[in-house]
Amino acid sequence: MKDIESKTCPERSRRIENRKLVLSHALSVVEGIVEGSKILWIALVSVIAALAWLTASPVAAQSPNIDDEVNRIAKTLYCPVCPNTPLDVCGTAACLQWRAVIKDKLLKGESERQIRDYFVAQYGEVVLGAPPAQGFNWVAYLLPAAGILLGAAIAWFTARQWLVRAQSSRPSAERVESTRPPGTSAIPKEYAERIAKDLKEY
Amino acid sequence: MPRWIQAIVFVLVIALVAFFAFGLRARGEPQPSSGPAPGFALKTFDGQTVKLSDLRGKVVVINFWASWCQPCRDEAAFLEKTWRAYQGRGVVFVGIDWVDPEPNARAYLKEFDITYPNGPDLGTQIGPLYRIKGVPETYFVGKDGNLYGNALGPIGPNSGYMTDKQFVRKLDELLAK
Repeated sequence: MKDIESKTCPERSRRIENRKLVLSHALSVVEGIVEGSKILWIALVSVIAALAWLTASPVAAQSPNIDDEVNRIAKTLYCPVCPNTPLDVCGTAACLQWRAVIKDKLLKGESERQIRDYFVAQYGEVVLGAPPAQGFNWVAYLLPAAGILLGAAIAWFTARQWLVRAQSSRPSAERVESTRPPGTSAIPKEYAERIAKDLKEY
Repeated sequence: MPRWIQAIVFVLVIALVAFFAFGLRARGEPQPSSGPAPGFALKTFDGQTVKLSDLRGKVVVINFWASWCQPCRDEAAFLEKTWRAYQGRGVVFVGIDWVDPEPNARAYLKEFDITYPNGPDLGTQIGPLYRIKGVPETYFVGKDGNLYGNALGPIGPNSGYMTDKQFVRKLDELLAK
């Protein structure tokens, strides 16, 4: 059909060819712009990264959040001077000194684990909010679970006992039947005869 | 409920009550003031090791302190002065730094020019032996290794715990024994 059209109308086919040429040219221009902007983007990102690398220093990188970090670690430590009060909210001179130690160690690049280990070595496990899971300390972790299991067992046995008692106190059909004198029926004799007759006729 | 579960519950409840009762009792006990002095080995800030058992035959003054404690600061100069006066007479002072960052403790020793052996209570192990409730606390150990009283607060001219005169009298009494 297309061939027929091009043969029958050469002017129109020329116009179509021209349009194709214009379109392909426009596309190549757009591609060029996109390619150019890609290069621009890459150049911009590179400049920003280089500037950030040149201006950054370890202290500058840590300083904005250092107090948050100190608080986060302090929250998990307890000073023996004021037991049951975490270090982050304790205002005694001893706790303030400890917080200063945490900050100092963070600035030196020590990890949270290293800082906690330092405090345990210096002042004992009493500084930790929870005892480390080892040795006799396991009792602290296992006892609640054991208590829950035991409680569940007690609840189960008690509930079962209640059910058994409730069932035994309710008169069942079998038990009523068993208390009837031998040779008697729950249905009156005339009804029984009628049912038998109806069944026979049916 | 089966009898074996009842038995387990009973045993567990008794064990828990005993456990908590024991803990509460231990916590409520006062600081020792007589009987054998709890032994310890203290590694000083100078790297020496001081064993209480090695000091048998001498009068020992054990002082718990901390750099952040103001009453400790109030008595520090007096203790050092007394130590210097008594060190050649068979008296040994031992300072135990309690719950204190080391740089602050060293600065404190330098500030008061303290020369008697001092070291940190590493792992907070010595303090609980004497059941200390805070600082300063001072314990007196006789030549026989027994405790002869304590001062559960600062020592000084106007102290309600032990005055400087009482302190010196105590040392003289223990030396005479």
